[in-house]
Amino acid sequence: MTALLAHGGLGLLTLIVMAGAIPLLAAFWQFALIGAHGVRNHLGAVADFTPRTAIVVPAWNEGAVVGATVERLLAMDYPREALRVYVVDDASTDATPQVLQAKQREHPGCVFHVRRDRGGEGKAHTLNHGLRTILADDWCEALLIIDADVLFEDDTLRKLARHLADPHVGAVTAYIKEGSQPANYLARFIGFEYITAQAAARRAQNVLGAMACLAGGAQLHSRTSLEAIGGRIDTTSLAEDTFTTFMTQREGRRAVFDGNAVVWAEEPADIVGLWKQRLRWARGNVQVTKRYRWLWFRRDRDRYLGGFSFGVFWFAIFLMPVFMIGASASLVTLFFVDFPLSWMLFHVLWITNAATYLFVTLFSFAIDPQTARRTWREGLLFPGVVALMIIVATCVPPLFDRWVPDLLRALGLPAGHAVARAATLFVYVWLSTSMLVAWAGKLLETRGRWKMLSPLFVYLAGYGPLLCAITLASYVYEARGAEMKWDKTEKTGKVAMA
Amino acid sequence: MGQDGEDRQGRDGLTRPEVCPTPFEAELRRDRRFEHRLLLKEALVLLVIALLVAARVLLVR
Repeated sequence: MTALLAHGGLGLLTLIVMAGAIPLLAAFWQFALIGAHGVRNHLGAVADFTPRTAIVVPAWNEGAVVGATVERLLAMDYPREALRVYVVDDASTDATPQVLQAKQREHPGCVFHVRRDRGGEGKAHTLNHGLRTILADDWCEALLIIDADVLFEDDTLRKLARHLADPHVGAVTAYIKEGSQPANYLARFIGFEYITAQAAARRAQNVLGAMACLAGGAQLHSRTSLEAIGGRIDTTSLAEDTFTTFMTQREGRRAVFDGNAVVWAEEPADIVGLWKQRLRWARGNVQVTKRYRWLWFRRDRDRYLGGFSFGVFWFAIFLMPVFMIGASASLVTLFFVDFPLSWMLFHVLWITNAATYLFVTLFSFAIDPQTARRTWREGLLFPGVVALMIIVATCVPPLFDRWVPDLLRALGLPAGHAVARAATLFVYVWLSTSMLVAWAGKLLETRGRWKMLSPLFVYLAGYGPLLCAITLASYVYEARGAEMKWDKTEKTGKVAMA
Repeated sequence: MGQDGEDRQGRDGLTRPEVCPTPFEAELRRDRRFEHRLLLKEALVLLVIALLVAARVLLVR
């Protein structure tokens, strides 16, 4: 009986360690699907179509950038008579109203200043104020929802609009690229992240026919589709973009990603800003997961959103901290209970990690070589320096089994059994502790002169573990029922097209 | 690529008018070609990984 329990316990621990490979295998599968996008994309169903489009720009204290934004939007390669810009001013207290009134006079019938006298309720409320005005008139056939600071390339709107020629498509989104100039280390990490999270992941979602989220900074909806979901954006959550995307698809229309339509955006320049933004997104994902709990892995309820692969992709990200902590804790337990088994599982897990890392990194570079040229260092260091060393140690066993101990001995440093055990325990827990180190990087950023060490912590721990730590924090916030506050991401207008 | 209405002689010796793609079609072709190439790029990346795995196996032996 005791032996049976022991075997059962070991089996359970083995399963938990191997569950740590689920996000890795999901990432591998997601990237493997991208090749299929070459033949299974929506470009075969597009047509030269330029519907009358109302661009909705939510703006709060964007006086420094909103004038240029309006001019650039009007200068896009799109029939001028089919374009209107509605800037929804969320009770700005800076020069935004004056700038917009001047633009309205300059472009009568093309630029509209829609003012909210009471603001601060969040982007969704601001957008809805604008949508009410726009939909009250039957002029527009499509609505493009954007952020005030983003830069559209000349052909972006045209490339998005061509998909709406297919009546089965309800909404289209573009590839958002990080465009801060100059780009600091965090901007480069985000630049690389967006290749994986947008250019890659959304192509895979196109193949599956299920889109997780239309980018908030660039989403084109057909009027019919937007009206079908109530003509408004969801205001009950922190993930209004994801809810809109799900609702569009639940109404029976497709949401499509066009990776050739590019928009440039400025993302947070420091960890504190990034944490705030991503915490909102991650909390929104918790809300979406709960709200659609009846749908996941249920193809009978929704052929696309309820698909197996889509569910695996969603939960691989959503539960990543759980997988990481579970794998670490089980490895440490096995270290004391059955060391050879723990060592074997550790190798299987990290060789899977190595293969996924190579595939994701190299393929991401190939998907967007232009961004890769600017962000290749951060792309290579995405999992963090320590994780990379573990990957190398796993893939080249003699390096740490023989060569490093020999070197330590030659230098007169300790390299005995105790050191080896400590090093082993360290690498076993790193999947979890990397999140702590990344979080420490965020804390250091607000500690005066220690701030300069903050990037070092991110490079050591990795940008991936930083995002994982934010997801973990989102569980805590949602479990506590924390207030749903829409913190606006600070923008400085330093975005430029590369 | 010729201009609209320009003639082109095929291998069969017959001359037929060359139809120039519209800017929309040209752009669409470029985008579709880019998407097709991703399949090739993916195959190349997987080949590189396979070679690295093979090198690792040989190294461990």
